[in-house]
Amino acid sequence: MYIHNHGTFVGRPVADMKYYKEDVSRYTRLHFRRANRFVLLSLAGACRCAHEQSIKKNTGVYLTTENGNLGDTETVLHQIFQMRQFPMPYNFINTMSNTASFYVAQSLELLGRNMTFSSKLLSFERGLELLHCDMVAGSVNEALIGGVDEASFSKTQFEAKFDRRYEDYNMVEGSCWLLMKKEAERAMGEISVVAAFADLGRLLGWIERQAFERPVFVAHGILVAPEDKKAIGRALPDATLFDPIGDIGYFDSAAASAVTHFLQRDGGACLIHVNKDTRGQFMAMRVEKY
Amino acid sequence: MTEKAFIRGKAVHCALGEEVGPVVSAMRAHQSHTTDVPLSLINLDYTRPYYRLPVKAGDPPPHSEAFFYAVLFRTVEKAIADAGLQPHEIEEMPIFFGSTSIDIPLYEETYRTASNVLSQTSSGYGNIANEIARHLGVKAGCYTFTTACTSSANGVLYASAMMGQGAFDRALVIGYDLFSNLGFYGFEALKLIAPPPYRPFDKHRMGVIMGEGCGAIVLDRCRRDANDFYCLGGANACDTHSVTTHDPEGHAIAAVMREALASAGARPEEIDVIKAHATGSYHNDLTECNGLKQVFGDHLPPVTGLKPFVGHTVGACGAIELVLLSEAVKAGFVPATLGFETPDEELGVVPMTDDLAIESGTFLLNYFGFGGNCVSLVVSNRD
Repeated sequence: MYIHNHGTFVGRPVADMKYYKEDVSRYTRLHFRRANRFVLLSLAGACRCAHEQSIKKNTGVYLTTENGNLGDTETVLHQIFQMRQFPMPYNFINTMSNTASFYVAQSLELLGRNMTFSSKLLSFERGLELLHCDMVAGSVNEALIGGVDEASFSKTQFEAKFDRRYEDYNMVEGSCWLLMKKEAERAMGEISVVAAFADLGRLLGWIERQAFERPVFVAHGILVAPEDKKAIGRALPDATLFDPIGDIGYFDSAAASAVTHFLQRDGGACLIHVNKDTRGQFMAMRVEKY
Repeated sequence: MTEKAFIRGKAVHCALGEEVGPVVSAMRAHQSHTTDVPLSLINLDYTRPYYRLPVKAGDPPPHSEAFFYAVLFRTVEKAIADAGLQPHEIEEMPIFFGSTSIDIPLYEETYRTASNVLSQTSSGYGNIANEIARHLGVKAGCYTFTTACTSSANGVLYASAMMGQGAFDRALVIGYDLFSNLGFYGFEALKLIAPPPYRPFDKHRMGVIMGEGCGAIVLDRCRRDANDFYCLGGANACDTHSVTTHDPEGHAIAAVMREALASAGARPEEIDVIKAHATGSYHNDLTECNGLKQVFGDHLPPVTGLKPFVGHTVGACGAIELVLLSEAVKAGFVPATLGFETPDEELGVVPMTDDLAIESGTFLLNYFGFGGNCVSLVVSNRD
């Protein structure tokens, strides 16, 4: 799967939605009057990725997310349970997170596959598996695939979920997208491997079988433990540590962010991104930048 | 697809019951049952119908976390028992979970006394599939689809496609949506909920009646019984007409049906019966019928809708309606569209008014949802 472009919109949360609407309006003529934060974050990244690209109408949209829309779901539950009134129709429609992938498709006039997908802490990697399946089947030749998440505002939730100190992370939000094609011509890079491993031993075995032609960088997901990192480091002794979470901040689509951040660097390098979920599963992505 | 994905095990828990045999018998007897749900949360003094799950003695109270997981785990365990899976087969089996509400029913009760619970405590969309994996001891991947009413249909689509490419030997597909006030009041706010009887494709149709349920399917590369169904193909596409309604001309819907047929290597004339999405809303039925006429022209096979038996189970309907249709066929029939009485000239499609005797065939199943999501699946139990 070849990477033809990337687009990123990541930053500290801004309370005023006008900020997001103005950003998105730079890339699309459609007006998203009732769009929520999640939709606008999705559009801001996807539209950057698609900007000035020749994109076919049957291009697929794969939106991966850990939490989807949170804001409108809270609003609707508040309207029903506290205000004791019907939810506003657009708030209700926006509780379905696939409204975001819909608006990406509508703004770019894309009629192909449209998927909103999640896989606890491995959403972006598993989403790439779905895209790979569709490319092998021939049902998709081009796709936008992105990771989108709002910032985690809850210290309690964050620390319970990850067993990490909230204060150690710069909390951001946003969306990071790749324009992927089956076609190699004029590609800027490729994702050559997306693989899952039941445990660290199998991951290390895979790493040892890899041959590298370019300088290697290695990045880790938030749940990869210090002892895992040490073992991975020993398996990749010449690799340079790459720390997108430290550089950019953390949000739940950090794996997608790691890839687009890597693609912003100079070419001629390879990224091994290792992620881990709460069940102890590992997933690795091998990304080449030409 | 190079390898076929056979339905090796199945289970369903819906308004008609929680055992496949009696549920199919109830469909043959044209039974259905709705419950009047009051809109008391917002101080209104009227009710709306809903296909609720039957209450069973000893069950935890509805709306509780214990009930949520009891229904889910029981259904999944029945599908696995039906498939006769060995422990190592379970361990290696990925999970494809589709839902609209995901974990909302778990959190709603707390909103009676609190706010912002979900954003402070929810563990994300992937959490329910992960809980199923923990419960069963599954070590393979978990895939969660949240594409509104097509969610679990997309689960079937990808599980069968990935299996067809040799990614794994078997998979568990689950569609699950329990009653949520968010969905119930949301649909009523959109003025989509109809009074009974539920009558898709009828001239006097008045909208949707929602339902709750769980469908679980074990797909396997090996065929266990000559009558087992398998997934021949399918497609997903986006209709960008509007976030709530599809292009009334039905072009996008026709395109997804054509792509599904092409991926299955089936011609329109090879389809024996169409299981329509048939929600009963004015626009959805019009759009679907226009799409059907484009694909099948004057040779439209028999068309039926299953929602009048169990309600519109939103994201779960992909798995639930696949189980209902395939098990009815294995029992020798496809049920008529319950509640249908008066043809609508504007639709130009008259669904089945009598049960069709059939034991094997090739079937097209349609699913369409908010966000322009369109899915068609082609399944067969014909050699």
